[in-house]
Formats: sequence, C-alpha cells, structure tokens
Amino acid sequence: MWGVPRAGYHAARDVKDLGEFGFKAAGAFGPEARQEALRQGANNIQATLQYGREAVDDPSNVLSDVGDLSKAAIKSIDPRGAPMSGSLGDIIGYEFKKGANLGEGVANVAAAFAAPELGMGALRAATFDAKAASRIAKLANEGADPRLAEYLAEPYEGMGHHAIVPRRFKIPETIWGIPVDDRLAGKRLPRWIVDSPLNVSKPLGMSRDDFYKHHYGVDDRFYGARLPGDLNDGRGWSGKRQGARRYDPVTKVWAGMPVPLKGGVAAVGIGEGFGVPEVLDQGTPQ
Amino acid sequence: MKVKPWAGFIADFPDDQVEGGGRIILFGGRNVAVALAEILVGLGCRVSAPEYAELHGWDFDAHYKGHRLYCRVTSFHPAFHLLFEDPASARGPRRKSAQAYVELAVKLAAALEGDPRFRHLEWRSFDDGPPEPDEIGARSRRRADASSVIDPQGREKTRGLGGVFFALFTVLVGIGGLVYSWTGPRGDRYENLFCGVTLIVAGLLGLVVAELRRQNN
Repeated sequence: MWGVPRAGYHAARDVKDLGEFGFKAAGAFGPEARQEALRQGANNIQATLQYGREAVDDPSNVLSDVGDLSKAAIKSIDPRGAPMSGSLGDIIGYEFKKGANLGEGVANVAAAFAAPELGMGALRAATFDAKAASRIAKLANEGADPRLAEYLAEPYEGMGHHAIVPRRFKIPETIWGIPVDDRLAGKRLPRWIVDSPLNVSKPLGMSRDDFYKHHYGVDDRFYGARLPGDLNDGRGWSGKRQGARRYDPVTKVWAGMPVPLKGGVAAVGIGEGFGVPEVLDQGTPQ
Repeated sequence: MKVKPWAGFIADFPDDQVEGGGRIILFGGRNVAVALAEILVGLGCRVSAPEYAELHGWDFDAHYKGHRLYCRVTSFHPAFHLLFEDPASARGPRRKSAQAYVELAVKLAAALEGDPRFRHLEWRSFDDGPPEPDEIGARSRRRADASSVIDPQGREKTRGLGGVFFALFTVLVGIGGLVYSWTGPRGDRYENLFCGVTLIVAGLLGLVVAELRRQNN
C-alpha cells in the first residue's frame, strides 16, 4: 500500500525532471545544456517510436513487457536478500522497503494495463465510423434483424454509468450517528460532482450494443433497456437474452472505472517510465 | 425475512415514450411513476417528484416513518419493471429502516394487487432480477397476495464493511508512515512524509465514501 503513493511521488518527481529538461531544451541553462537536452530528447523520441512500431508489428511484446515488469516487481520484494547485520531496525527498514516496492510494482503493473486500454479506447473512437458496417454485420450474425442491428450499432450518446457516487445518492441524515445539517441532509450532491467525468464511466467509441453490454456487466440493477417501438417486436434489449455477463467484483471495479481515473493510474506509470528502472534499482538485494 | 425489491407488471396506461427520427428522445414510464407515487402518498409517504433516469426510466424517493426508500420505474410498455428498495439495506437487518421497509413493501404490494390498473404483478428477489418484459402476463397465474413481496427464507446481510476496514487500514498505515518518516533514513524523509500524508487523506476520504455508500447502497 505504501508503494502506491510512492509511485505517485516518483511520477511527480519525474514530471519535475521533465520540466527541468524543458528549460534546458529551451536554452535557459546555456547552449551546452541545450544541445545535451535536445540530443537526449531525440534519443528518447526515437526509442518511443521504435517501441510503438514494434508493438504494432507484434502486440505480444506489450504483454511480454508487462510480464517483465511483474518479474522485476517480484524480484524487488524477494525477502531472501535481507541484511545479515542484525539490528531489528535494519530488518524492519528492509522489509518496509520490500513492502513499498511491492505496492509500487502493483501500481505500475496496473498502469501498464491502463495505458494500452486508454489507447485502444481512443483507437476505437477514431475508427468508429469506418467500422459501422462490420458492427452491423456482427449483430446480424448474432440474430438481430437488419434494422435492429443498424440501431444498436449506432454510437451511444446517453448518460454513462455512475461508478463511484450512484446517481440516486442523497446525503444521509446522520453519518456514524452524527446528525448532518438540515440544509444538506436528503439533498443530492451537486451535478458537477455526480456527473463529473471522474464519476461517470462512458468508454470511448461505444455503440449502443457495446454500452448496454458494458452497463450490464458493471451495474447489478441494469437488466435491459427499451428500444424504439417498431424494433425487436417491442421487446426491448435484454442482457439475459443477449447472453451478456455480469463481471466479477474486481473486474466490475476496473471495467466500471471512468476513463479519466484510469488515465490517472496510467499517468503514474507513464511518469515512471513504467517504473521498471526504479523497481530494479531499489529492490536489488544487497 | 427479506423484501423482494424487483417487480414486473402490466399497467394500463398510455405509452408516454417520445420517439423521433428512429430513436428514443424521452424514455417512458413517468405516468406510471406518478401513479405509484400517488399510491405511496395514500399509504402515508411523502414523495419526491419523479426524475428522469434515461434508459433506467424514472425514479423518485418515498419517505416513510422518517426513512428514505427508493423507487424506479422502467417502461417496456405495456410491461413495466419496478425497483423498490431501501438504499441503506447494505447496513444489514439491524438498520433502523428495516421495519419500515418491510411494512411499506407489504402495504404497496396489497395496494397494487387491489388496483385494477396494475395486472400480473410478480415480485422477484434482488439476485433473480425482474421478469423479462414479454414474459409478464404470458403465464396464466392466480393473483398473488401481498405477502409474495416477502421472502420468508431470505436473510439480509450486512455488506460493504470491507471498504470501511480497508479505509481504516489505509489511515493506520499512513500514521505508521509518518512515524517512520522521522525515525527512518534521513534521505527518504520527504518521500515518506508525502506517502504518509497521502495515505491518511486517502484513507479518511475512503472512510467517508465507504460509509456513505453503505447508507446509499
């Protein structure tokens, strides 16, 4: 648990380094520092582009890197490297650091999953129109008549799933037995909180069918939705009939998490360069 | 004893769904929500005006004996789904609203059974979910009595305590971290201070959110 804010701390420190790099590149620290910063920047950009090209050619590379990251995290928490010197303080300090490495490793592995997911969402949104025909064909193959398939393949434009604060939430009259002020009790939270992008999950580039299935997966109170009267013989869309599945509790939290929150998780990892060097350096047994 | 919060029924009301250009502009069910709210007022409740919940339909609160209960109507005209639940049910059978919820659920079921505008009423547990719209009224069934809203074998469970314990644990780890930031290595002091404060703030925030969610299901 300690490692999660530590990953954020390291990410913030890296952002500070990035700022310094920006100043150097702008020439604020003299021409030599500027040349060095530009050379370093060019190398980094080249390496990133190369990684992107390789990921497109062979997506399994990304999975393999996530695996390497996990291995590095596991190595960094191996308790067999505990100091042989003996004071209790040393041992507690060592084990604390191992625990922190584990937390940081988990945060970075989560980030490694979040970042590609955000990329895939953006890609899905960018190619949404181009893939309309294939979405309709897929729905028709699943048994929808052409008009229903066309309707369900259109982009979903309604409100999303309220992941953290439910839409029906109202401030209770007491919290742990402490009475809440009458002016607040029974009121809804402001719309800017409840409908905030940090609370509402509405993944990018989803059709109606995609969103209904997604919503069915994450919301135990959603069983189906009505369709225009002339479609599907007036029966509406039913999650059970479509064979949609409810997610398990962990997947429900992850899948229901709004994109900007996932972006925050990804940012920690990106700020860390996915944390591999940090984890390797700090966790190497003495 | 546990209330079955889902119901499916056929209601003889005009379809108030608004469609245009081949899509739904306004989901229906408001007229049925208003009728249910009027029934609940007759049973001694104070109700809020139905609010639009898009594809979920229309929802409103009923306050009964000082407790808030939640109603949601989803239209599949002429079939409808009703979700009638106690937002605080995650707090378990010993919560203060439990008795009022059972009492009102039985009264509501009896009122709906006796109202000729509502037919083929069927109550379902939370886990079973509502009946499929086209199955409501398809089976010939004798009229249910008001007690069908109660599952006598059902046991309410206290839920959501995991979140509270996790938040408390986070606060404790944060406090431990603050102590460590002064007793631990000098070089890592600011890093540890940052982590400790972050965990305490996150834990306290989590504690409030977990408790509020338990009161709002």
